[in-house]
Amino acid sequence: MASPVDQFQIKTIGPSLNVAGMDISFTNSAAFMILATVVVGVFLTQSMSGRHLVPTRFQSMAELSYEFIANMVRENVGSEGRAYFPLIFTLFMFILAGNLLGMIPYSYTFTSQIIVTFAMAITVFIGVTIIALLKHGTHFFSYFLPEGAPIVLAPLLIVIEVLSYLSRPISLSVRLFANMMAGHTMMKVFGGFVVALGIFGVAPLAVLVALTAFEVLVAVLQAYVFAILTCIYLHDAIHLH
Amino acid sequence: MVAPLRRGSGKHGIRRVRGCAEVRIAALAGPASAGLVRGMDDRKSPPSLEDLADRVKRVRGGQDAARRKDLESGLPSSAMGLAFRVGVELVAGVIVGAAIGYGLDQWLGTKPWMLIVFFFLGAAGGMMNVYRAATGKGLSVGYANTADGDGSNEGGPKGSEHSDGGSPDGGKKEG
Repeated sequence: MASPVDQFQIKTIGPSLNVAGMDISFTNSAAFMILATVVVGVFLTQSMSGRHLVPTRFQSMAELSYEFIANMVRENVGSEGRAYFPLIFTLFMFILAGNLLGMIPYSYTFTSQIIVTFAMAITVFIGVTIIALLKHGTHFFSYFLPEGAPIVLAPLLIVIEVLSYLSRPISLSVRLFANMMAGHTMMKVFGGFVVALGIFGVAPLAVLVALTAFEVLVAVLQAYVFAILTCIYLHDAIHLH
Repeated sequence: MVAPLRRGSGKHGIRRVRGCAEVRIAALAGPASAGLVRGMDDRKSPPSLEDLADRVKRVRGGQDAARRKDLESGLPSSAMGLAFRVGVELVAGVIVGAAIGYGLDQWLGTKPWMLIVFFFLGAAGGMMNVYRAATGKGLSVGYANTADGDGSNEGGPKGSEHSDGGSPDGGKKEG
């Protein structure tokens, strides 16, 4: 029987390419990222192409997802956040599509790879820091000294605050990656039980049904959490409290 | 826009044309505008548009603040969600601290010391994040003044009020 973590194996598709010592072969992970992009693009353009006054089912889904993120940005970032709506909407739809595509049997979940989620998180982190620096200049650094703290403690506090600021991309990426990886591993483990227990496999099968539903919830929830945390970080960068 | 509406239609007309938020505002506004809604009392001057906008803003601000509070303090509001968040925050702090310590050791050649120091500092930073997450101080670095529901109003002219009650450089921050 296949090991539960075999599903995370990266496999190259087609020829293996090497550029300057880096392996840039096309992989199953990359294939599913492209698939996710295509699915989102087709979903949004096709469903909105009718432009019905009374939306069809698909148009309604597209409008709902748009409004969901638009409201999220407005409530969490404020009116200045409108400029960053495309970024957050793209992130949300990409992660959501990746998570949900991963729920299809035999597919690959690219969000279960730390490097993918970390790349997105570090992009958000660097972008947010640059926005804060552009908006507030050097005043941004006052962020790291809590108001009213005794000056004697400043060296210690500043280091701790900087570290806790730097831990943002890690916690942002680990949250998504760990949720997806743990969930999918658990599903494979229970799937193994079903096969191994023969007739008594009905019990783990029941658990598996509930687990599948839970995984769909987690898939949507983690996309939402990633998007809303990006919004909150943007809010901090723009308003600096 | 208000005047022709008032002249043209009775009570029901107004209700039909306006959204539900405005109806609520009319109910909030007290006797003067109650007369206005009924369309009977023409002597009293109608409340100005600025007044109306002000009241709309107040109602909306309240709603947004309530909704925002839900969102911010309880990302995943379940116990498991909170536990997971706390775990991730702790681990992230330690990882960042240890990585920076290790990097500094490699660079400065102070083999174990920076790693040890930054490991604990990173753990402290992670604890700080956990504390903020658990007490609902939000996810931001530094101490946000949450007494007035930080950021509940949506930027705009009121934007400078939210950031801090007492600090003298509040105006500067927004500028």
